[in-house]
This record gives sequence, structure tokens and C-alpha cells, in this order.
Amino acid sequence: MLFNSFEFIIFFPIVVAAYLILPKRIKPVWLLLSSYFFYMCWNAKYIVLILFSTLVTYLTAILIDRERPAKVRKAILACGITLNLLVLFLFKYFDFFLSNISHITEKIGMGSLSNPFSFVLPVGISFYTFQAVGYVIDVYRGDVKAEKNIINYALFVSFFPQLVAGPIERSKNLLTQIKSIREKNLFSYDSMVSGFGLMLWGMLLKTMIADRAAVFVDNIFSTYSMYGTVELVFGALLFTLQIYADFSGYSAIAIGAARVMGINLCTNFNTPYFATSIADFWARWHISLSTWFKDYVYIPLGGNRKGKVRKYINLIITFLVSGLWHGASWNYVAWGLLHGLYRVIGEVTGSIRAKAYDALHVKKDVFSYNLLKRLITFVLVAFAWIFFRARSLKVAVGYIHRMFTRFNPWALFDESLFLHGLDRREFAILAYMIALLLIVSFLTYKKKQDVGVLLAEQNLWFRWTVYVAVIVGVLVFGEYGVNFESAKFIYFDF
Amino acid sequence: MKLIKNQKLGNTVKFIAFIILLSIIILSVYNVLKWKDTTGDYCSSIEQLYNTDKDLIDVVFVGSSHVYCGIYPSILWEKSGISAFDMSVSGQDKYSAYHQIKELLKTQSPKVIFVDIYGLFSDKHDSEGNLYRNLLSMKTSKNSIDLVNDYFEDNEGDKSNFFYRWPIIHTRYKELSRYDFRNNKLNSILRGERIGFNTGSDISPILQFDFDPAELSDKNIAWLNSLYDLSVQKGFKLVLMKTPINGGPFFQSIMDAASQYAESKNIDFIDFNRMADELCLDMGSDFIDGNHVNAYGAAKVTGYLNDYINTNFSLADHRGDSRYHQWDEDLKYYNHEEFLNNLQYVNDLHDLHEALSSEAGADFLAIISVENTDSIINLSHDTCEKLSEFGMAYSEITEGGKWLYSGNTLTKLLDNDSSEGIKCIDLNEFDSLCVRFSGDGSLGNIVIGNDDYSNQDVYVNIVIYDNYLYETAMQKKY
Repeated sequence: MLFNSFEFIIFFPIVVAAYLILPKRIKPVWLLLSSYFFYMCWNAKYIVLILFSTLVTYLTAILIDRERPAKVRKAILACGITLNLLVLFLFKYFDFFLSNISHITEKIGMGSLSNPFSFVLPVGISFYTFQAVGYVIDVYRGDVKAEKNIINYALFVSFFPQLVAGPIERSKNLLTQIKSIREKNLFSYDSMVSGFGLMLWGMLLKTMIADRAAVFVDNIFSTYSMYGTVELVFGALLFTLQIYADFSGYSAIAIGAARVMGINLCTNFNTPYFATSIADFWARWHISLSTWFKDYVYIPLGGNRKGKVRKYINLIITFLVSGLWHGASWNYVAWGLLHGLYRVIGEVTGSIRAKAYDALHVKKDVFSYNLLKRLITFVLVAFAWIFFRARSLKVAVGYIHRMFTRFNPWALFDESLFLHGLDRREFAILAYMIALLLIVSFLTYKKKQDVGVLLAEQNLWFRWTVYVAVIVGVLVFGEYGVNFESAKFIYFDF
Repeated sequence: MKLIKNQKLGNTVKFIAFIILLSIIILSVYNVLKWKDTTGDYCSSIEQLYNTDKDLIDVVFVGSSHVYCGIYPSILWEKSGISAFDMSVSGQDKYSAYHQIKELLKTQSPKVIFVDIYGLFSDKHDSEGNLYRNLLSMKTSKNSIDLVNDYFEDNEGDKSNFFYRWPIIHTRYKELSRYDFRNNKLNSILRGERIGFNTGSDISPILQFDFDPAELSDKNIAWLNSLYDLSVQKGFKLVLMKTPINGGPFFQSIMDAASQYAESKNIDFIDFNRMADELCLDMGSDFIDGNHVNAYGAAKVTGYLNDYINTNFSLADHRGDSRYHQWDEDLKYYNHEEFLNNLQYVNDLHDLHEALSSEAGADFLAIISVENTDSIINLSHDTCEKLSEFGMAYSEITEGGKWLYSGNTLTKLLDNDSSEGIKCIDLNEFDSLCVRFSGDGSLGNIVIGNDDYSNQDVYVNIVIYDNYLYETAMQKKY
């Protein structure tokens, strides 16, 4: 069940209405059943994987939480994590792993290997696996106590708003709130209003920007060898907007849906394209994953505590793993590596750049300096997204090569840009929506509040006008329905 | 405590008010975007059914375009005062036929229902447009949901799109036009037929085949049985028929099988293909194409049905009964179309004046423009004489100008040497007429809506505007 589907429009109010009416002790059970139903709408049998992950990490945490020798606790932790990651490996990475081995065995004349398993990637497996693993590590570290109530814990792993594409929640935040459902009324009218506004904003981002841009992007990337610099640059730039609108839109709906029920999920995006450096970008993009990697990969590797060289190596490793997390393919690895290199190069050249600026008397506290930094960061990120969007590393390289070698500036003027799925009217709608995104991003950046909160603060007439305009706008101008196939959220595949 | 209670109450009221407001707005937007076409050009027989007053229809003809092109309720009304209705939708499939009858039976109690068996020839729609026409035109109800379920039980596709409708109709924002915002008056006037006088060319004759009847499929037998059961249950007389179609031996063998089925159930069956000679159906003058008769063919087919109904059923003659005024309107429209068809062959200015001055001509406006007056000598005395019949003085004609002729009244709009610049008048709620003189033959001298009807290279230009249908009917140049 997609957030931007009519099924969800029916499902969600029913869940919320029953959640409000039911006695407190039943509420977690109701949310758990609703979450399982939500997940099973995709593939009922894969619920087994969630149950397995839930049970393994639940027992692991309880076993760790008892007083035992450190070695035993470590061994239990290792077993629990390994079992979880094994499932992830089997379903997500085994085919990639085997095809690479097979490539090698073919080269050395041993023939190819066939995959005995043929699975469809379970939706959201990377998200709930990481959430569950994070919880076990938190218990091991003593940051949280092991949850004894299986319903509470199962709901923590499978809470439907964030089950399939995050945010990847920490037990300190989400589990604590779930535990309190039985004790106090989390719901409030204000949170409902704010959550509803945020959900609408997410719907707008998804259906009006992401899915509209996708029409152009899909056309360009699928037949990139037909185009020149202008189309390919537009393709890359629109994908940069598409993936942001798609994923931040999903996160907004997820956070908003949870907030309607009085549950606060962590912030996942904070105007990432306003970032002034790659480090700043990663502090604003998919924050729940970035902090997960920081806490559970980068810092355990030593972080910046073991010298500069080791820090750079740790950064590269973390970004490589992050790339692999996004997909079992070399183009994702390349994307991660590129971001790792951006970070390392940024660190290495930091002092040199600072000296150069001083020597050239570059003013740093002016608008133009910040704008340039933001633009450079945006271009670097957009360039890296080419690797992310391409079907393979080969396609990414081919795309970039063509982008730099087939200069066709006339395409900006001969209207050929309107021939790739978006006509003039569709382009105009997309342009208006991007302008709206820019304005709203600027407001949220300045006010340090999300759209839902900003809207909830407004007078009733304004709020209602915005709600109605967005709902009608999405219903009429949103990309969905019979002639539209790519409605799935991009991050469901990770 | 009381404060909290009041706050809760206030929030609940706000919530309900918002839901009501949102529902009203969404419903309004839905009405703009919804599917409004069953026969083309924003004409919908389903809308026409909804616009028909309750319990007035005595005879129903159910079928596809073959029915709305071939059977005119207006003719039955004119001849015998029979209140008939064409429950016909382009490409009507068997599932739609059954459920559209059920929809009609919600408000009407017909004595006889004729069902065209075209549905037997196919189980699914090849045309997306016809699928939408059939599955999206009824109001949402259990019946419309049953139709979608029945259709997709036997056909592939995402039926949820047809339940929610928005996934299909929302893209119509790209094609919205006047009748999405205002009702097409034909949906109030017509009783299902689609009148057309145009004649096709090179149409092969309907051949007679005498092969063995085909075997009806289980689905087809089930469909015919469901119609028969419905007729027994609802107490109407069922008649099966096939309007003329140039289908070849396969079609004829199916029709013969349907005929056998009808005989076994004691149902009348009318095969117009077998009666093509008896009705003197002429492929050269009575058909639009091989599968659809035109108004001349429809007159013959409907004439036969009129006799058949009068012979087999004693139905009341409702002419003169004010409750049936909608059939009077229907007939008026038929006459209007007939007049319009004849008008296109009128070229002589005198005859044109006569036609426009007649009672039927009152529905038309004529915008008369005379230009190129410097060389008016080229305009014959005869033409000027005939033009003056509209009411303009000979001297005015030679000076040139723009006039509006309507209901036997001539109004001067603009002199060619006028300093007025431009003169605009609203013809109706949709179209405005603007005239000006920017030089002989200049573009933009006569504009209706967004269309230019300027003289260009002619002396006398008469634009005939149909103020009954709100569209430009034709242009005559002299």
C-alpha cells in the first residue's frame, strides 16, 4: 500500500479513528495489527521476515541485558546482528555477490554460477533491519533497557508510517513513546493539525514534483545515448530534485502520519540542498541513516580519534557501506565512494582553501560567498546522483562522458526539451512547484520548523485554504493513475 | 475541565466543518473533470437519462452506436407519440448493456425494451474511450460498482481505477472545455439519439449469408439469460434485434444463433440485416459507414419499429401531454438538424434570406459583411438586389459594412469607414462576436470566440451562427 494511493486514504483514517476510540491498553495491539496489514498489502509472505527480525532482536536484547560476562554479551550481540544481517544479505546482496563471483569464475574458466535463490527484494528490509540492529547495539551499550513487552517491541520494529522507508528510528525516541501509549493520551488536536499539514506537503512533493520530474528523468536516463549535454544536464538536475521530493515527501508523510497519532518521529531532512559543504549536506540529508552510520559504523571504526589518515579511511569505509546499503550494485558503491572522496578531499584541502581565500581577500560573511558554496555543493551532489540513478556503473560513465562531449546548446532554444514526456504545460506545472518548494524550503530553513508546524501556527482561514488547495492540486495535477506507472517511492527499493 | 470540554467540542466542530467544505469543493471539481461523453462531443445518453423526468419512458432501445445512429425516438414521437429512449453508448459491451438497463429501471418503467445484440460479438473493449464511456458514465452506486466488477471478472485491468475514478479522470485537466463547466443543453433535449445526415461513400452492400448459425458462447448465453430473467423480474417485454451492420458471414451466423435463442425463449427477434431489401436500405444514401445508418436510414429503421410497436403493443399516444415536453424538445432538435442540413445546400442569397426568415431560421444569426467596395462593380446587380432583401439599402451595400440579421431584423454593426474601431457583442453565454474594419480582406474583421471568419478575398461574406447549439454553423461567400 503506497502512501499516495486511494487505499491509504481509506486505510489511514480508519486506523486513526479506531486508535482514538480504543482503550489505551488495546492501542498498541491495534497499531501493530494495522502495521502488519499495511506491510502485507505488498507481499503477505514477507511478514515472516519482519517477525523473524523482531523475534531475534527481541531475544538478543533480553539476553544481553542480563548480567553476564562481557565476552558472552558480545557473542550474543554478534549472533543477533549476524542473524539479522544474514537475512538482509540473502535477500538483498546474495545475487549481487554471486554474480560477481560468477564473473570471476567465468574469467578463470570455471564456468558461471547459478543463483539457487530468486527473491523479490522485500520492501523496506534495509530500514527495519537497521532499526532493529541499532536497538540491539543500544541495549548492549547500556543506552536503553531491553524491552520486555513483545507487542511494544514488535510495534517499534514495524510501526507502519516508517516501516518501509524510514526514518530509521532509535529506541530512545520511538520505543519510549510506544511504551507510553498505554499510560497517557499522546493524541492532541494540535499534533493532528500539524501532522495532517505535513502529510499534505509530502503528498504534494511526491505527486506534483517527484513523479512529474520522473517522467522526464526516466526518458533521459533510459535512452541517454540519444541526447546531448543540455538534455543530460537537465536529466541530472531534475533527478536531483526528484529524489529529494520523493524521499523527503515520503518522510514528511511518514512523520506527519505518526504525528497525527501523537507520535513524534525524528527529522529526516533539513533543507539539504541549502548545505554549504558535503559534510553539511550529510547532516541534512536522510539524517536518520547518516546518524545511524555515524553511531554504529564510523565511531566504532575509530571515527576521528585515531589520526587523520585513519579518519579518512573510516570516512571512505562508511560511505562505501552507505552506498552498498542503498543498493546491491556497483553504481551505488561508486556513489558512496564519490561522496567519501568529496569528504576526504574537502578535509584535506580545507586549510589550503582557507589560506587561498585569505590571500585573495575573499569575504566570507557575505551572501555571494555562501551562495557559491551552496551552488558548488549542489552541483557536486547532483553529479554524484548520476551514479545513483543510472542502472549500472557503465551507464553512469557513459552518461557523464556524453554530458561532457556532446555539447548542444541549441536544445535550450528549439523546444526539444518538451519532447521527453513533459510538454510545455507539464514543465510549467513542474516549474511552479519547484518555485513553491524553494519558497517553503527557505521558510522552514529560516524558521527552523517543518511545514506542518508552520502551517499549524497560522490562522484557520489560511490553513484551510492551503489544505484545500493542496488536496485539490494533488488530486487534479498530481502524477498518478492509469497512464502513470512509476509511482513507487524510490527509497522502497533500499 | 469545562474549558477542555469546550475546546474539544470546538475542535470537533472545526473538523466536521472542514470535512464538509472539502467534500463540497472536491465534488465540484469532480463535476468539472468527470467523464461526460457516451456518444462524442459531450453528449451523454446516461446524462440524458438522468435528465428525463421519472416514469415517462415506454420504450427503450439498448445498444451501441448502431442504436443511437439508427433509431430516433423523435421520429417515434412525431409518428405515434411513443415516448422512447435510446439507452445506447458507443461500443456498449454486454455487461454495460445489462447494468445500464438496471440504471434506467431505477427511474423508469418501460413496457418494452429492445436490446441490440451487438454485445454478443465481443467480450472486451478495444477502444479505451469506449471503455470509459461505458464504465465511467453512470453515477456511483451499487449498480455502477457491480458493472465494474462484472466487466473485470472477465477482463484484465485495474478495476480500482474505475471505482475511484479519479486516477482516470484527473488527467482531463489537459482537455477541459466549455461543456466541462456548463451543461451541454443537448443532454437535456435529446432522448439518446445522435442525429447525422452525412452520407458515406463506397460502402459495400449488406450481403445475405445462409451458413449454419454459430454456437453461442457460455458468456453470451449467460448474458441473454440475464436479460430474459430481468425482463421477467421487472415485467417488461424483451425484444432482441440487430440494427443494420455490414458484418459479413461471422456476424450473420451469430445473429442467426441469437435468433434461435430468441425463438427458444419465445422472444421476438428483429434482424434488420435480413430486412435490408424490405426496408429499401440504400448503401449509397442511408449509411454513414458500413455499420451505421444516417438520418435517412434511421427514418426507415425507426419507421419499421414504429409499425412493429403499434402492431404488437398498445402504447398510449402521449403527444399533447405536457409531462412529455422533453420529447417535443427532442423533435424540435431533429427539425433543427434537418433544417441545418438543408441550409448547407442553399447558396442563392434570395433562398438563404427565405430560409433564415422562416420559423426554423429563427434559431440562427447571420453576420453579413460586405468589403472590397472600391471594386464593388464586381458584385452583380442581382447579388446586391438579393442582399437588399435582408433590409439594407443599396447605398449601404456599396459603402460596405457589417450587419447582424436575426429574427427578421437587421442591425447595422459597423460601417467600413467607422471610427468606432471594434464592436463586440455577446451572442450567448459562450461566444462573443467582434467586428472591425482593418482594411479590405484583413484578418480579424469578423471574429467569433477565437475563430476568424473574415471576408479575405470575397465581397460578401455571411457567417451563419447557430444560436440553438451555440456554434458557428457555416459560412457563405459571394
